[in-house]
Amino acid sequence: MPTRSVARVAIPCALLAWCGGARGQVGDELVFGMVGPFSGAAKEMGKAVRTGIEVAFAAQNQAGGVHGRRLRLVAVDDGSEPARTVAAMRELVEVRKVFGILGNIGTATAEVAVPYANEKGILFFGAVSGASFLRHNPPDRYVFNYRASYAEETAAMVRYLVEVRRIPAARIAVFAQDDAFGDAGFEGVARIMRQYRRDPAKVLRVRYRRNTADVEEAVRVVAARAKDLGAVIMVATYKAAARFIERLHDAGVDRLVFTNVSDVDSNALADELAQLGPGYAEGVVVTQVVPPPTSKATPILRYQEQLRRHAPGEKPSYLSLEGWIAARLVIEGLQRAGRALTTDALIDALEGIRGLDLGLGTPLGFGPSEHQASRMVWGTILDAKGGLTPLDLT
Amino acid sequence: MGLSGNFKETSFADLLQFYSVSKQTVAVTVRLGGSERVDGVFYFSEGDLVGAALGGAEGREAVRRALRLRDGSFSVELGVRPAETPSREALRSVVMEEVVRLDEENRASGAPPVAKHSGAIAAGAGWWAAPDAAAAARTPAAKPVATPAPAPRPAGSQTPAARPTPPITYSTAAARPAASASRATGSAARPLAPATHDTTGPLPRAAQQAQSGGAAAQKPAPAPGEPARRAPPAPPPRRRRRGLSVAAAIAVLAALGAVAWYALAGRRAAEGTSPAAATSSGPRGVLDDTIVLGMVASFTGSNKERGRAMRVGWDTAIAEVNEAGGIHGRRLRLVAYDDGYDPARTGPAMKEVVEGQGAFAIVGNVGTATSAVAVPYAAEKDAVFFGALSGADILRKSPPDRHVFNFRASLGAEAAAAVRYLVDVRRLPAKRIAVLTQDDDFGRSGQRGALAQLERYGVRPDEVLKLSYPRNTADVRDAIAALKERAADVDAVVMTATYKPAATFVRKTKDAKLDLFYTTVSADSNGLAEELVLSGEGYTDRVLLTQVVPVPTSGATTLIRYRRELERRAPGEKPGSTSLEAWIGAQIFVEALKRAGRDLDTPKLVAALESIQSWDLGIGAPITYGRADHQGSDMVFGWLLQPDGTYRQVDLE
Repeated sequence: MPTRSVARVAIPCALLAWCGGARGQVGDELVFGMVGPFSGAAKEMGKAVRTGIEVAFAAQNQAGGVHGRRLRLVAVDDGSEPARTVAAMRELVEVRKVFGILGNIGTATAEVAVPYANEKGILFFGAVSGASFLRHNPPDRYVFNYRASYAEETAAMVRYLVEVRRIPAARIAVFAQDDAFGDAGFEGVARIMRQYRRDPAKVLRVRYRRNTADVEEAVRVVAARAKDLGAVIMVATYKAAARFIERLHDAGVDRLVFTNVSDVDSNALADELAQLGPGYAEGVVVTQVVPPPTSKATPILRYQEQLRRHAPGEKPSYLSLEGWIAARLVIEGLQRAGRALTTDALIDALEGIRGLDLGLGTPLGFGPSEHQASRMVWGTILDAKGGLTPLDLT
Repeated sequence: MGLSGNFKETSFADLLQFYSVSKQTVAVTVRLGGSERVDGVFYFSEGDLVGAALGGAEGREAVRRALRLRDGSFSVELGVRPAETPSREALRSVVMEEVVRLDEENRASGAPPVAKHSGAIAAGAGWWAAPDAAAAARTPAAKPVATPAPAPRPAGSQTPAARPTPPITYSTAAARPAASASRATGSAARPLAPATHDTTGPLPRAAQQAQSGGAAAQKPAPAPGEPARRAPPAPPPRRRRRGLSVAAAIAVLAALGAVAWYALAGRRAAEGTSPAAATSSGPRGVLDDTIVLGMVASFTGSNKERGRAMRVGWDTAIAEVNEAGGIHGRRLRLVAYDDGYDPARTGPAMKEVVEGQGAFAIVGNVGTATSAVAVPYAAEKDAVFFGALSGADILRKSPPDRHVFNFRASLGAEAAAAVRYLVDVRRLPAKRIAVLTQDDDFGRSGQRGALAQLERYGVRPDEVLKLSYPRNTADVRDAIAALKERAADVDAVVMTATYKPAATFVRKTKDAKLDLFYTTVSADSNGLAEELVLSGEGYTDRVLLTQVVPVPTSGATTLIRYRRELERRAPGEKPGSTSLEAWIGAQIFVEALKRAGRDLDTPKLVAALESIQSWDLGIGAPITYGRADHQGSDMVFGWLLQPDGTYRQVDLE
């Protein structure tokens, strides 16, 4: 009788222990989760990043996976609404029991997802956001970034405008989404403005609401002050950015230099502007956190080749390349972590990656005090037909 | 900052043990009824009971009654002394006799709680052997749990097995050694009971072994968690009584042996031979199985919170190291002495730590003026002086003193960062920034940094409004009077002050409706927050601390580890800047000890510290020392005080 009661207690315990210890590992599969917009105004972004990750996973699986495990991505839609993000994270972590979160999209959504990941001790890797709260100093244990920060992007942008285009810092305005994303971008602009002895409080900032393209008020303010301005830095998603440029053009304001941060989905922005007719797209500058996806560099050729094979019909894009690189970094960490995989083992392995040269033009690495792999910012400029060409920012 | 509790959960014996081991100076106020009426006060001075009054009784009678309290509450005020101090020796023997008597009474009545209590007191005060052996003897062999079997006992007595960890358990305190040779027996500090002190088990044992000369005497005392080994098989009651008397007799002999040894050791110490030297042929403080580290800090006075928290940080780190088996086969033992933030007392305290207790190195001292006394002495004694809680320039000479190693950025760097924050981020005009400084080297080091930075913004040093207050006080009246005269010209005050005067200054200027932004350098974050939150709404607005460590709520790997360790080894301790700075310092020091190898001496430790380069501890930037650089980190973090007393890390740029 004692034996039976022991067994009755012991078996569920053993099961629990097994479930707990094998988070995200089902048989020979290792499952990652992703939360992003797969509906709503920014759905193109979600699709692109997901494609990049899935392509990298598919290629790795074809080569035998990692330590015998196949990689899989489960994506859940939050429509870029922070109110839906926690439910999506819960679904992934508590129901699907994913091993880690990879490639989430958005800043306002990350603002709620990051505390949840920290609390649960879940890896939060390669979010598509340059916000500073993803880059605490020292960095949060569970949060790793591939990309440069907004501060680095906007600094590169302001330097380009001031030093290459010779536009005084005082003649630069900011058009930013009215949420954590816009704030994070503006914070970066403010920081570099101070270096140019420009009081950030005096920088003209106009706004629009997230998940809308309601830019009327912003257009009105900028149009009224157009003669004092030389450039507008946009911290916006592609639909709002395209509408903003379109309306200002239509209001006769056509000599401003427009720049946007990488999150805009430059390919989608170019398409939107090109469709409006000639003149809208030309000269719009977009900073990027990855090299041109059409580059002939070794790793990019590999990316293109894998894209052709595993996602036929998908065009190379900046965002899918970003997802692909983030996935490549996770794979590198998984390989180093070995067969006995835990979140802690993966984090230790990731923190051990130093000077990894994937051939992107900058070596990648992490450390206990550094959870951002790259600080590199690339420039691109749109031509009249919506084509993106590389632009030297210095 | 006072602790409080009730005698249901924490017996008076526990309190005796706790303060005896932690060497604190406190007043324990006793209330027997539910009212606010005070029924008794007991004073401890550096761990010794020096005053006892309860319900009209004094001295022995008060102690006797207190030991039997099963009801009523107590509260503890730190740093309080009685008006007149009776003879310590007298009360000590009273305590000892009363404990023994209580033990006998309980034994006669078969009530078990005494086992824990007497063992507890004994552990702290040094006469542990007798009652403890008795306790072991009473423990039935069939139950290898340290708590005695619950025999029938008078109603109202406690159930040891069900006792929760006493709320005051500051576990690593048990590792604290005795304060002087005459009290050296206290260094055999052992846990109250495994149930309450299981995490520190290894540490106190190490402390025992450190006094290896006394090892024979300690034999009868079972190590926590293994009482059953020496316990006789559950005998019938009558035989058990006899067995007890035998055990007690052996134990008394053993205790006498211990006393004799310590008396000898004490004489050796007085003759200039440290106890350490008596048991090891290696350098001072490096024993076969122990490395003795010394700390002199403010455990009393206006800056006592810093000393306390500093010790918590070091003790926490040391407990972890010891639990993992020590370093190259040696456990670490920290000897902490109080100088009350008073440089006049630092010299004697350092002497006691180094010559009396035989410390190998000095770690985690608190204060600048006190360091000015301690550093030359440490150098003279060839002791490394590591990780002092001071950002003053006297610890940062160029080239650096051989023995002096810092973890933290300088005060000047902190004050300069504060000025840059006010001007660049807060957009306040540089010419409208005043400075408030403590009137000593500490204050001047910070002021120099602030003035130099202001000069870079075009404000000449003689144009800056300079306010000051006397050290070791919170007397900021003159400073406020001077500020009020120029109130219209000032937007912000950069303070180089300890937390009490800083908080007082903020409170009084806010009361005077002055609209200012305040910054202060590396003040104790919890002390400052508590003072200002308690002051009421609005007092926490626009207060920035510069610190050399990240906010303790950070999600970084190292900070997660710090919080976990703190929670485990110092339950109830709130994470804060001071214990974090101490803990980080200890991580670096431990790394150096590891690199120095088993064959440890001061030159090897210096070389090992200097070899730490680009060592990433995960606190934002790597730690780097070198021959010409004895400061591990240059980082300065901005902590913005929030209304709830927490801090938000802000970019100082």
